[in-house]
Amino acid sequence: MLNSFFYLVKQGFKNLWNNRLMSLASIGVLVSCMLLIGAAALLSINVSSVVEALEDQSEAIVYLDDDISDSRIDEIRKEIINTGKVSTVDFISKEEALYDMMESMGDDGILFEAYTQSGENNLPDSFKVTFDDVSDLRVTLSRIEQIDGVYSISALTEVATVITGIKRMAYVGGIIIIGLLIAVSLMIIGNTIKITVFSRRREINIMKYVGATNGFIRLPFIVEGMSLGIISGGISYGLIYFGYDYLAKWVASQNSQWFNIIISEIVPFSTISQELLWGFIGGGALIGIFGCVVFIGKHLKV
Amino acid sequence: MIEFQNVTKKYPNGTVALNDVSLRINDGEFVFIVGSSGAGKSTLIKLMLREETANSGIVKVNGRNLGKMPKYKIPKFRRSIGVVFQDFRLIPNMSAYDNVAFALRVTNVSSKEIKRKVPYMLSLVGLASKAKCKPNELSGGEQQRVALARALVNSPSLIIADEPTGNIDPELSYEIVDLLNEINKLGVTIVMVTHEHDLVEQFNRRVITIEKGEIIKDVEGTEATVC
Repeated sequence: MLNSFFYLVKQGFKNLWNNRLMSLASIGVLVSCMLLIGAAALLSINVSSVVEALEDQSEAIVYLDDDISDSRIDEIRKEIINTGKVSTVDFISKEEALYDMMESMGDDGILFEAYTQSGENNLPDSFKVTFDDVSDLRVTLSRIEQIDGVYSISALTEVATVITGIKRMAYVGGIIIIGLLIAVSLMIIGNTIKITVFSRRREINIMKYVGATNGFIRLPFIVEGMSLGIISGGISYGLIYFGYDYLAKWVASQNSQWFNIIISEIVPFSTISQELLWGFIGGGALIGIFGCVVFIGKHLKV
Repeated sequence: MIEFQNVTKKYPNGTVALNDVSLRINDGEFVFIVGSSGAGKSTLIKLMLREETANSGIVKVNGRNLGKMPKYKIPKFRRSIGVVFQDFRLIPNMSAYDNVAFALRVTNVSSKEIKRKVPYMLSLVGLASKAKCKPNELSGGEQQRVALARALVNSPSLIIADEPTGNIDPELSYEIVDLLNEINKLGVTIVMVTHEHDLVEQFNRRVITIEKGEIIKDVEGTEATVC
């Protein structure tokens, strides 16, 4: 039994070479499909990463009523945290606010120096709040606004709405595009395997006549399909690796402010390399095996 | 032994290939099956190989009722029969040696046994020196002899030859049938489909004539049958 098994595995590898033209065609189709899927997945991951970075940068300033006690300030901080989607809550005293304002005004900041000395600072105490998730920012802000001791809130809710929109689009769009690409790829790959098997239907037919079992006929095809899938997965991984590296370097070389945000948020290849490698190789092997098993079946009815 | 009892085979398109056919071929016989194209010869072979099943009647080969044979038993059944086709049906990317060895490998024969049996079979059909040749490097007659070696290598009790001389020169045709004749002398039953009347007359064996799906003539040959 083991004797036959090794013979059939060897035969599978031999067939790979004997039918090298079809093997090359299959690898070409598989690699093209995997590259498209990989590129779409990477694009989706990177768009999400950039959007999340923008999300982290969105903040709100929560102004407090005048003459509020220190203990009440602590309570308000806890209540803000309890609204749920808050990432950080940093207290800014009226003195710090005045200092920040002066600094932001540069040389003209000196105009406000009198206030620091007289103690007549009319700026309110406030909290700088950042968020984990800005998808329900309006709801979160209205909750904070209702806290006793909160005077008003300043936040760019429109920006948050845009960010949320982009994030949703990147997620849903990514799934749809990848799903469609997988479906189209399966159809193309299926047809390629079908043609490969069809071109060798005679060989299968002969095997049936000399008394080969279906398993005996299938095993070399499975080894062949699996090998084609693994080779294609490896090639696709390599191409994506170099392509991604090249693209990342190109983006980094661009001297543009807009690119600066993207550069800092590009997902390093090393963080997704494992998933991509196993996804390509595993997916390729599975498609190869599945395709062979399904499409050979038709020719085994002799 | 091959036995057909009132066998009718009708294809889904309505063609009646065999109509109420009954015949019996005993062990050790050499039988020619003749008839014009579309007479039902190939269907007869397909039923013997369990490639098709009869719509009615019983087909028995080597004691097995093929109509009742489950699919998983078909490979084992086919290993007990040697088959030779008009178009040789050799695996193109395998050498002559590997084509013959393949029939042994499907039966899980050890490498040692393969190395012993295959050269012997190739020498039996006169092709020991061409063991490494691929089918496309061999002439039609040589390819058919490789096919014959493959059919013989599992020591079958029955060889079915479907127009084995159809694709080779007339002088080589005689050689192939003569080889089958020699194999028959060893006790192997031979069923050969052909439409070459000259060849049939030269060997003087039992001849079953089929026309329009029916046996119209069954003439015993004068040459004695072994067993």
